[in-house]
Amino acid sequence: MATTAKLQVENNNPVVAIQGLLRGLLENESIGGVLVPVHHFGKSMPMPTLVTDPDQLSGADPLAPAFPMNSAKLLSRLTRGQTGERIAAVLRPCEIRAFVELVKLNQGSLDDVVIVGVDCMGAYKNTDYRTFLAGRDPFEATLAFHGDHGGTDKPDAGGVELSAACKSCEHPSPANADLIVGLAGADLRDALPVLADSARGEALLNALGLPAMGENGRAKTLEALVKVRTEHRDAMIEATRAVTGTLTDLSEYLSACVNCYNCRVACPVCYCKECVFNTDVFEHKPWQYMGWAKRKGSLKMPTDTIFYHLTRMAHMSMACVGCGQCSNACPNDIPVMELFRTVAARTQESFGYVPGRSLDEPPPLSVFKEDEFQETVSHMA
Amino acid sequence: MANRIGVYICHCGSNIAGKVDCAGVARFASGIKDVAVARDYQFMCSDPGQEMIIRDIREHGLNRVVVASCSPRLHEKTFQKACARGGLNPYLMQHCCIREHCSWTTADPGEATAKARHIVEAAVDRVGHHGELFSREVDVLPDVMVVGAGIAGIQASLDIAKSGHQVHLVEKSPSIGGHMAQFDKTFPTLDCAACISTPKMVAVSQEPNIHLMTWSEVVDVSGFVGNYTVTVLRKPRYVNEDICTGCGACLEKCPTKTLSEFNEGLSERRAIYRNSPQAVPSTPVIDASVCKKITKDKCGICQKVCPTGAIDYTMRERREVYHVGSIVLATGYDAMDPTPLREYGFGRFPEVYTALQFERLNNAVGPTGGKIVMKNGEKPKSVGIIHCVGSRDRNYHEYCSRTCCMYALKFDHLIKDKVGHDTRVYNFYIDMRCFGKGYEEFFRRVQEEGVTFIRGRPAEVVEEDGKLVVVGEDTLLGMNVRVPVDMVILCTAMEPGRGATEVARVFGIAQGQDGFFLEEHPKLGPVSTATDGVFLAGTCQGPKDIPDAVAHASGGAAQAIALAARGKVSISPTTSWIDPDVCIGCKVCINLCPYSAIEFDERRNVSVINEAMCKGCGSCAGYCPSGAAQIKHFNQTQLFNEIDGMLGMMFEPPPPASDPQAADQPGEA
Repeated sequence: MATTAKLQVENNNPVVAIQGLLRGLLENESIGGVLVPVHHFGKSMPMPTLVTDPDQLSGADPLAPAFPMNSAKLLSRLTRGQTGERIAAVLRPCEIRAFVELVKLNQGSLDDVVIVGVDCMGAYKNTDYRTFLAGRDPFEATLAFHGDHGGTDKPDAGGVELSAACKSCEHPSPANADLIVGLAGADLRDALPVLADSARGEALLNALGLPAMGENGRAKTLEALVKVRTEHRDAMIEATRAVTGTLTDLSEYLSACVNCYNCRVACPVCYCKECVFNTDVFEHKPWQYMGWAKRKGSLKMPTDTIFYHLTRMAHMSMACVGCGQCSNACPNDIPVMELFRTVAARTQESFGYVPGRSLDEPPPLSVFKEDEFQETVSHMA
Repeated sequence: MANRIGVYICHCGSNIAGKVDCAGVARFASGIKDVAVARDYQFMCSDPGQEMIIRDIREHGLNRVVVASCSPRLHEKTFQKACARGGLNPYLMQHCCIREHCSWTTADPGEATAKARHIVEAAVDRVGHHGELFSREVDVLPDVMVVGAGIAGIQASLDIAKSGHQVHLVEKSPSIGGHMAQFDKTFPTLDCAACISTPKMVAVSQEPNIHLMTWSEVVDVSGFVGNYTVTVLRKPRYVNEDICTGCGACLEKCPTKTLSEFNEGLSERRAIYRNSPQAVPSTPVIDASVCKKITKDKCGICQKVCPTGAIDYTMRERREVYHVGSIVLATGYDAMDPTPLREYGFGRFPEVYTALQFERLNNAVGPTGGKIVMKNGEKPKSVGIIHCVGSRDRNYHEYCSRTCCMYALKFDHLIKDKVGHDTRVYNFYIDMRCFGKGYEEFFRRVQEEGVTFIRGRPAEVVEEDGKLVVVGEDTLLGMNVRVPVDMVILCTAMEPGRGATEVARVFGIAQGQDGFFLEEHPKLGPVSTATDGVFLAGTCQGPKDIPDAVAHASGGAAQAIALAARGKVSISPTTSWIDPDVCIGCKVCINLCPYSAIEFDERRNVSVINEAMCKGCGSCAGYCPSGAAQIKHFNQTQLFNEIDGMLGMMFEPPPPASDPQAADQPGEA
């Protein structure tokens, strides 16, 4: 599956070109709708939107450096159970990886969805995106952000930095997509390569009747991007380890947590209907609080904040895709993503597991292997 | 309304009171929230101890009870029943352990008392969150399935049939009798094996309550205690059992020959065969892998000679489903293949035999018609018998196979008896283990017959000048020995059956480290398994001789009969439960459940526990991130409160040691 088609860019505007690609998909009888970020009210944040009318694609801006939420959870809602119609979804690589994890947990299905991945150049935190816009037309700002060459031009920062999660993301290119818009290394004034990465993608791409396109240096650009980001990630993990190694340090790190649970809501792989922290298990009695306070002389309120994060690490660090929405959602700017990626690096390494890599890899905790962790359990044999 | 909890601290004589200040712990307990009464007593499990609880329930209006004594494995049931007699639901009692977990394992009395207080506070905090639970009763189907028709399976089937229950007896071989049918004589009485087993085999075939299925295997088991659904694969025999008279005409005319498994490869059999003239059933079977008619569509002689037209080459395998209340597994053992022990030359030297091969040499219908002769037809003048081949050997099996010493003595006697008293017989043994009834006496008798016993495991068997030489050490004399013999017999280990792992999987039971099926308790539950309604009989549980296998089989049969006779079985309520309002339907628990007790409800998109199959192991609850799956009596609230109680009087953990790297820095004096 190496078909690469050429998506011509007119008037130096790759966003319009991608809109055209989506219009082509939507006009294909087999696809009923497209899930894509759309600017709804002129200068607004682009929100994931299910578009069924091709004319309404004019607000679509899949290249905007904004990431208000991870769409994996939305796609889960659109594909869980009986779907009825096939849709296409334009997703960032971390959104696809999170969705793959959800599909493994029976929270969605890839059967009736065509995934369109776009090489990801990263995004700003929600608050930083507004600063970045600085009153500009959002499409202009998007074009300025990318410059003329995908992934190689120094992006127009607008005085703000990319989110910490994006800076340390080693997955700029989408995996498990049907179609990939190869932004990396492309001359954005000329043409974008569209790659088919599955049989289904290939059939769709052929139906669009686009001309073929040759090698344009995408691989090299991606390689360079991954290198920079991996270095950033390793430094980030090392720095986080240094300040979270003990219970005292961890308490300090999480001291501003107010149990708002925003990080949990924002997390694409936190999939429970009812979180255990919302149940009566954590509905303590007044006399219990008094008892705890008396034990030490004082009791920090709210309680169970560290326990909450530890529990989430136990439940979700194996599936953490590092999208950073937890940090994005934190009202008190706790670097939650850094903590989760640091812990996830260990848990995932223990099982050689990369979340979102393949549907064929079951979540490690869902299977039992007799020969696992021999160095830990061999004394019990 | 606040709970009214009664707390009882047991002295267990001096077992607990020797270390723990029981009265002090009781005083401490009386100060914990909701505790209405706290007492200590010498033996809580005694009648007066139990009466104390019952009286307090009535007089103090207790609605929760905590007993701190020995392990719940010992007396949880005792105190649950006491509570029930006092009118309290038994699951409103928490039994905590201050003996095995505390007094026995703690040296310092002060520490032991402090620990006992933690344990008691944890139990008190937990018991407040207990709820009433009720056991359920389900009907037990009256029929029983017995798998394997060796002597153990035969005994179990006959016992069960005698009680009036229908037995479905499944045997994978073409005829029943198992290994015992291969033997000639049995130790220590030297009864002829056929003389004592054939009447039982015939009884099986004639017993109206036994439905015998030979040449069949169990391929699937579902359900739970009292209600098992068993799928039996009936392999094609190519001979119609209903028409065949067992005349044997086909056996003589069949032109195709192959090695006989029943004779341990010492002779050939035809493509259509039966193991022996006394085989039950007497209907032959066609070996489809060699039969020329089936493999190449040539020949067809057996069909022509069959006077009743019983031969049917078009027979196909079929699956039959049986519904039974319980299952007795009697799948037996296999003798170890000694080929890997290259030092003993099996397979290289023609006169090295396995014990089972030697049994066949002795057998009147065996390859030599019961004559003990070498391959060249001559009688051996000397025989070496090597004990413990693959047994008591860390490279193969650490366990003792329990039968080899005795059958070796039997061989000793038979050789002296059949070949002649001048035949020299050498036993190479590690220890002689003759522990059964009449065994030691038999050992003495064989010694008096002039058999030589050399203590020491031989190093190797070599061939010199056409004779075998057993090379080893006589560890009693402390000198090396080289014993030239004509024939060597290897007493090979009894191993778990070759298909044991698959059998364990199909029936949902566990194997021990030695590979034999794991009984529920090594001493007090040797025939039951961790799966209710699946019982063990004979050597599938571990090496046994015939009397032990028969006794074990009768035990397994008694368990099955007990279930069937009562007709009802009580199911523990401490199972898992999945809250359908919370379950998100990720299905992970379904794969984690070792008892296949979770099903998926596609309509509601939630996982559902089959309480009859659930053992309450907690695999599902341990994974379920939302806590939708929880074990009744071990739910999150109960466990969190238990932990909280355990930490009740904990001091702050000591501050972490200062940076260890700093301490390592040079120059710091």
